[in-house]
Amino acid sequence: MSRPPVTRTPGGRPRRTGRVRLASSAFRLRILVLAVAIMFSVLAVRAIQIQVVSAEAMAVQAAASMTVARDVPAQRGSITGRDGQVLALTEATVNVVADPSMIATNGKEPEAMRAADQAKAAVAPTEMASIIARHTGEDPGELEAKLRRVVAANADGVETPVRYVLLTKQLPATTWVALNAELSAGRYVGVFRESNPRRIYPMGTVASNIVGGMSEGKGLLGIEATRESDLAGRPGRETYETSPYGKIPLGNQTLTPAVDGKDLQLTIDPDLQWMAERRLAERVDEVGGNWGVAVVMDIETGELLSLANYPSFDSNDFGKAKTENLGNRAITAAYEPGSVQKVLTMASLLDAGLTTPDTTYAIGETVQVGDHHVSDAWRHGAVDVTTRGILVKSSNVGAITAARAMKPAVLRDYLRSFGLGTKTNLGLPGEAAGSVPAADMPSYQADSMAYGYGLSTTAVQMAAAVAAVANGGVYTEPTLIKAVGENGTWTPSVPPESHRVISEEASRQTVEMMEQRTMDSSKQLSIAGYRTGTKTGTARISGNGSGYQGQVASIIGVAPVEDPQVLVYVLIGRPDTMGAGLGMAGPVYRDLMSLALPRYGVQPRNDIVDTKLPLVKE
Amino acid sequence: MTAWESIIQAPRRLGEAATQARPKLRGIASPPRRMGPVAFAVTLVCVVVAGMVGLLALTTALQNQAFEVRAAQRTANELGYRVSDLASRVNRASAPAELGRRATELGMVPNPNAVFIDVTTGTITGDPVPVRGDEMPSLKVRAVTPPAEKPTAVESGEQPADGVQATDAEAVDPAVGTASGEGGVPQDGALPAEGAEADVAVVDGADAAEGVVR
Repeated sequence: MSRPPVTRTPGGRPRRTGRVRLASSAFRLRILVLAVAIMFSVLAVRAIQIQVVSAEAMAVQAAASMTVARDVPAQRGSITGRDGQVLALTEATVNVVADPSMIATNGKEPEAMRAADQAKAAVAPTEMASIIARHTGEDPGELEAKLRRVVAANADGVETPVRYVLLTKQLPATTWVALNAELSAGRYVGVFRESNPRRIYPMGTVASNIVGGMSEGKGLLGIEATRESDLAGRPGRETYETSPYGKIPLGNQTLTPAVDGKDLQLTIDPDLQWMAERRLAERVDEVGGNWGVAVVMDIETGELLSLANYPSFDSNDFGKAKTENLGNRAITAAYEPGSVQKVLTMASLLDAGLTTPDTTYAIGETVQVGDHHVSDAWRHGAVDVTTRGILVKSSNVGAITAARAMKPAVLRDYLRSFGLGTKTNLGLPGEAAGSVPAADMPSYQADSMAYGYGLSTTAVQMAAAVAAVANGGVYTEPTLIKAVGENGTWTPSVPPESHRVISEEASRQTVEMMEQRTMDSSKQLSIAGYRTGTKTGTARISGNGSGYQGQVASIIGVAPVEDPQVLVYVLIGRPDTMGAGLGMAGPVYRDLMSLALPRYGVQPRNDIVDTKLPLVKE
Repeated sequence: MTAWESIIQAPRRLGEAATQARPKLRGIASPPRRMGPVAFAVTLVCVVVAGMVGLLALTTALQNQAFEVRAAQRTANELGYRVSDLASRVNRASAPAELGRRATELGMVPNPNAVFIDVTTGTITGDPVPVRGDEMPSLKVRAVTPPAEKPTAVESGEQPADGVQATDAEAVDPAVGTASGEGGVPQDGALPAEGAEADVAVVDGADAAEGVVR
């Protein structure tokens, strides 16, 4: 049996110590060293794991947590009139947003808040709401409620801190600068801005049927929609490193700059467009019409100077307009042109050498077309009418009789060459092509075509066709885009396609016959100092089902006759069959032509002689 | 010599013997004096501190420049905002409707009978016709609601001119109120009479199917 160890004290008296070995310093030291070694070993393993094994992933994760990426918006291109007047531009506006949780702690960590911070945070929402309300016009009570809502329940019913609330949308940026300065001066924190540019149309309704409008940041109507890709540009991308104090100035930054959208310059003259819209609107309302269109065109270049519609809309607020008024009837509405078409028929016959202005046709009161008899509004018995008389008196019987000298397929080819039945590709949405009968059309359809029925056109097609007659017989495709601008450099549009349709002689003769039409109603149509040629027309509109529903009264005019430069075409639609082109659309035509001629430098003359030429053989 | 003396003398003899046996000593260049450990430590600390201070100064300068760039960018942004805002106001003010309203306020009336004056010869082309004031009443603008703009109480103070316009716009132009006569337009009742020039036609309905006004 072993004996417990005996130690001797300085006094020499032995003492029994029990488990003395466990309490020894050396042992304790070994344990401590072991523990430290284990701890550092664990740390070392962890360090190796982080630094070596998953170094790349960890670095990426770290960089991602402090790197912010955001789109750099591209500036949308502007749309201007022919002389640079702005029709659509993008204004710098911002959304004002707030971080209620940040406001509630006065920008500090909750545990770091001092008494002063708590006092400030308690009153900040009220005072900030008051400041913001003064700048934005929002209700201060609602603003304060938003700023004080620091927690919100999510879908699972768990309350989470609110870090984002929208206070107001599309505030002018200069107002934000003033608002921000006032908030900064008061040392308020937690209100920020987000860029949210606003598209504005300074002229409101002017040319809205051309320019169109935007919704949700994208073009929805008009040029805004069809030229979306050009106007929008391409957004850039910016990445940078941030800290709780914002962007790290010397941190990693990359910037892919945005490519701004292209600017579009239209051929439209906004001043004339405004005058046309006002005059047209007044007249349509006066005569009880339900819509109207006025086209003003530069005959030589094919440029559209005005494309007025009524009813129209304000591009800034098109949601209030009726859907049917959001398009552009000058290119979307296909209708039977009626008697205006006789200009093209007579021009074709003159060009083909099948008639002259003084050729006479013996006509009766009516002419048989298929199973029907067609008569004239001009009351007459059997009469020898001249080609000029057919145009001036708008004789359906005469037009059918004269056109029978030409094969229907040939007349059809002339009309096709005048641009009928083919889209003009102006660049506006929803353009109609209209229609021209097939080459093997039955005879009754050929007769109908001669005086403007049995085929359909849009107002712009008809304007371009008559412009071709007036332009020495050369058809020029109508255009709406004058130039495209990129980084301040303007590139003119490609010159429009043009081709000869009729001879210069046929052109001159037709325009002079149109001048006789003006003289026949000189009180209503003549313009002092200018020789003008006109042709009126009235055509029924077919309804959704069979039969007709209302009519289109129209008048087309060119001036000056000796060298036509400006064309004005006015159409007024109404739900019934009252009125006709001269009475309904004539006043608008005369006013617009009176305004347009001097506007484009066409000088009046003091030596105009009105000589009426024979319309019927005496 | 006692043993003790021998012992005492021994080293001297040994030294003499050594002196006689040793090669001649030559002068050699002493090695550069090594820096004392304290001085070395101080120098090291100084170099480190100088480097850190230099780096700090450089970083601070760069940071300051970065802050200056940011401040300049902010100023540029704010000025860009200002340009955008002013451009919007100019565009609104130069819109035809606004010009028409201002012209009407000034008592101006449209004149459809324009004439041209050759400034070199003084020749007048065209027939000057005095206006009555009732020509083209549609071009007179009595009041226009400007395009919607965010109400900004602070900004409105910067535009006293707008406030004046708003008041003037309510004034009624007497010429507009009396517009009539030849500038007026025929009433609906006159329309059927004008229908005499209408082009009455009979058309096969099937062929007119395209003639739908949409």
